[in-house]
Amino acid sequence: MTDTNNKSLAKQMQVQNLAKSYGDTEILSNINLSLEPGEFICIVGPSGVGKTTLLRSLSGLTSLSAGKVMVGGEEMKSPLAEIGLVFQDYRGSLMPWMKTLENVAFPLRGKGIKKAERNNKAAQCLADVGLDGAENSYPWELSGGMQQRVAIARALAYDAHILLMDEPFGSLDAQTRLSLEDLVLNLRKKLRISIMVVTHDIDEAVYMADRVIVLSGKPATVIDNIEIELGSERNQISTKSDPRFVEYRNRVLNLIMS
Amino acid sequence: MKAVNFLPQWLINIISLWTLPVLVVVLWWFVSADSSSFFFPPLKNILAVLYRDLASGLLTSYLLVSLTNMCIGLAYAIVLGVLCGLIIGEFRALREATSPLINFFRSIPPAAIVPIVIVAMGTDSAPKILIIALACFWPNLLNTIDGVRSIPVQMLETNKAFRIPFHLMLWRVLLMGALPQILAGIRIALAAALVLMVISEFFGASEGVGFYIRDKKETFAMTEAWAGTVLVGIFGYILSTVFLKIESWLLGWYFQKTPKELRKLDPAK
Repeated sequence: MTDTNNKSLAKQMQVQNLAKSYGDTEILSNINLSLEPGEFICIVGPSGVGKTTLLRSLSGLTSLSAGKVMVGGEEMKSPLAEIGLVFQDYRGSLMPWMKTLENVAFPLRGKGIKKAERNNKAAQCLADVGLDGAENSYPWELSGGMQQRVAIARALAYDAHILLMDEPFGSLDAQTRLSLEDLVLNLRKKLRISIMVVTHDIDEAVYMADRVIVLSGKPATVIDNIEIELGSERNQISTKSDPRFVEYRNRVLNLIMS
Repeated sequence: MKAVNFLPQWLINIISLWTLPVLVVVLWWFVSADSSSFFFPPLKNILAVLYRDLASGLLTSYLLVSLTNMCIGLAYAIVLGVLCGLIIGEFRALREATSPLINFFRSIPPAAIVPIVIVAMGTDSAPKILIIALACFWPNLLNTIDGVRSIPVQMLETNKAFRIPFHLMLWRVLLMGALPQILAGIRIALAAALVLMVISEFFGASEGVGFYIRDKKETFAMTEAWAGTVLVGIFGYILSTVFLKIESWLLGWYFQKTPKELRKLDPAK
């Protein structure tokens, strides 16, 4: 729990007994978790465990085999305006024929918002992720880290108070990765949104999250739910050398390796 | 590194582009110069006849008739082929339902239906436009379907998650994402259109470049028949050159370079 909770605009997201199968293969079983307003949680698990499937289920992109996802007390049936998505593969998710500004403003166009207004909003959100000045570039003219920031800006512009991110920094180099981790942490603080990040990087999960949820097993279930009490201010050097950080990290690692 | 740096780059470009075609024409000119063959008249005579009939307005008006048919037929084919392709490409059920039919019809050589259509519909321009449209429809349809299929799943899902309405999805995502393949399809269609433009005028026509070629052949005016053929070739070349320009302008993002106009506006790029 952080002190920004009471001011958050986000609705609570609750996952109740969620299960997902493809054909006869059960991927996820009996998943229960919640994302409180303004909270930052990371979902970790061995690769292939079904993390991405979980995120797709939570975003309304795929149907559930059982259970339900409640957002603000209402059951989610299809993608919601409250939820923004950021995928790992920014190349596949940004449209190369649209300039950066149009990419960010496009979901707003879908909402029927007037051009001047949506462009203003898009420019604002690009500035929020430190990309002012890149409005008129095409995505492919930007570096990988910048493209992923465009994708984040797009989710923000959509007025998503809940951000779901699937391995958002997975295809970036180490330095860009660290700076984007901090960028996302700052955005959370500034915009008081809830964020759920799926990652296979345990350091990243412990560093960013208020809570780390560990998925494991076949079918996957939640095997641990760890409150990360490292305070609301995180720092790449001091936080990561904190003995408690190492302790959390080893705990998660043990769970995943066993 | 430039191999020849005492010449300006544009001149080198022109030379490398035109050397071979000019060589072929020159070769044709001299090899055929003394030809007494009835079927292969000298190029000099062919060009003289071409100039004569163009200047007299006869071939010019025929050309106009033929090109009008071609453009209308092609336009129908592009609009319908792309529209159907976008929708069939987007919906899997529709794709599966239509695929046997599409595969059957596209394997019929377009020229094979010319006699039937002409007999059924008469000799004015409507059947010719129909023939051209039919021939051009398939490459447009098939390439558009492939183009839609080539859009990354993640892009479609992202737009689905952002609840993009169908009409926007159609014009801004599917059409644009499929555009490289659509334009490749139009290029194939353009070649087919030119062929069918000529063939459709072989039967029961009274005007057009195809009529001119067939009519001259039947009266054993081989030089004129050759002149018509050369004219079609020249126009085919012009059309495909113009089309390539349009393509590279429309697909700046695809070839991952900013169009020249934008670079001029922002010299930093």
